[in-house]
Amino acid sequence: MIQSLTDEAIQKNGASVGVLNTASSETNRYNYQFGFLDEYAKKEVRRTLLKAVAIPGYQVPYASREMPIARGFGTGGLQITLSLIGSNEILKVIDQGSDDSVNAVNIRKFVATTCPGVTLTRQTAEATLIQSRHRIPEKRLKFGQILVLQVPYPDPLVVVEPSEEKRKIMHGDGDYARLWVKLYEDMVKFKEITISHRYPTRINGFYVIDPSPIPRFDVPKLHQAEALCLFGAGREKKIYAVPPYTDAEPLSFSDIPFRVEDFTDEQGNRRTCQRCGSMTSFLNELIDSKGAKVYQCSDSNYCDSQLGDQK
Amino acid sequence: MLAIDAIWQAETQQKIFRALLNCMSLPGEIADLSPYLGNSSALLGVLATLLDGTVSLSDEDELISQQVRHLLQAHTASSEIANFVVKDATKPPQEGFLPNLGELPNPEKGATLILQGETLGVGDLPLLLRGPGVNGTRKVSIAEFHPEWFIHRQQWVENFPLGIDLFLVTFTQVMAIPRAITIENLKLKI
Ligand SMILES: [Zn+2]
Repeated sequence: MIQSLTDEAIQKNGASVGVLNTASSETNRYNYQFGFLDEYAKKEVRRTLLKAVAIPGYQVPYASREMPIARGFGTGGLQITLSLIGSNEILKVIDQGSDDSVNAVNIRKFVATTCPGVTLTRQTAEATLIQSRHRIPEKRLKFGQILVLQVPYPDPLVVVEPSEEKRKIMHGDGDYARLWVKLYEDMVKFKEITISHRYPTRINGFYVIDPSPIPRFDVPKLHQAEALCLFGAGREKKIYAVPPYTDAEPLSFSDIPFRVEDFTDEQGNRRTCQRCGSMTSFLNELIDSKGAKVYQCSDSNYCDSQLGDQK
Repeated sequence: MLAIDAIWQAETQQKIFRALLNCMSLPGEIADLSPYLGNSSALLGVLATLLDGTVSLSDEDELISQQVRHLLQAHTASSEIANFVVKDATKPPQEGFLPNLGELPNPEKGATLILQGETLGVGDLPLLLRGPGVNGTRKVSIAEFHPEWFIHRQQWVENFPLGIDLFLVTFTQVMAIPRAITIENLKLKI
């Protein structure tokens, strides 16, 4: 069902892609080219990616193409992935930590159809390219890996300034005073950090980014990471990046420091995954058949591999 | 039948792009593009990968033939405003040479400079790099890139996020020095 929908969408969209670059001769039986996007669209995204890496944390505008998937399901991330991907790629796609969510399955099928030769994997460690929404994998990303995060709202200043033109000036001046004030007011009011996702994070001591709707738990993984992290917002037509070995500091105050989600129970013990027993992973709260709260790893591949290790 | 040089093919451009992205992410990393270039130079490989009719190119030193310029499709602009500026870096920059450094709200408009020299990885000009993409510091030596380029660069990038991003190319290799990188061992005198 999903497969046939995807094929149909590709063929429909393929007609509007128009004349292909003479340089791009690679087509297949569906008569669309490798990576779906035409070579001009890829070049635009590629130039944007280089500037995004060169100016860490800066939201580089680009001309975003229409994609045959609904916006909000990762057009920005998918455009980056399709501009990066080569036939020798090993790709992992996850959504909310799961390889098997509808969104992840859809994107994986789309790539399988449009990028012949690409290997699909669930194993974080063996992927060369990982496209994700809402999570950074539990397993520490390695040197040489690329993580592409889908972003719905790229600009952390939108909560204090509605005008994009003014926000761009504030970013350019490194002027985050109003964001600090807003954050501080929240903290004074609630005596703690109330932001659960999209925690504003300063990159290389200059730009503040919205790290996409990852939990606070994942934000420290951006700091001095070995992998390259790329962020794509299709609707807002922005791409930004955190290069490897780059400082990523969540905004915080000395009296109310940044902290990740607390998974301790009433007795003060760290909750564990009911499935694999992990005491360190980010947990989803579920209700079991008896109506009781149980906890399980959000990262399904991590949970599976923990279980595998125990066998 | 006319054979199309490898650098104009989509599959090659994807590979060259990944090498460039890797270089930009890891300043000081040297990529050998020779498996992808066919008979072309690294300079042409980089340009073929990144340029099209929507961007501008300055080539005041005439490093690119008319035929290739046509294939690149990029329109010609002066070095003060071009998106991509290609220079023969074996010679020092001309008096008054100043590429586009971008604007504070739009720093991506700062040019990409592609400097062609002789050698990357060994040579009499050591560069000590520090900044995003570098784990601590990284030393890389180069040769036949005139040192004045790096002294000027220091001035062009001193007001981050304004600045230019550098690709250094030899006949087959490429290395990147993005604007956020500090070159620590330069003696600031011209
Ligand atoms: Zn688990």
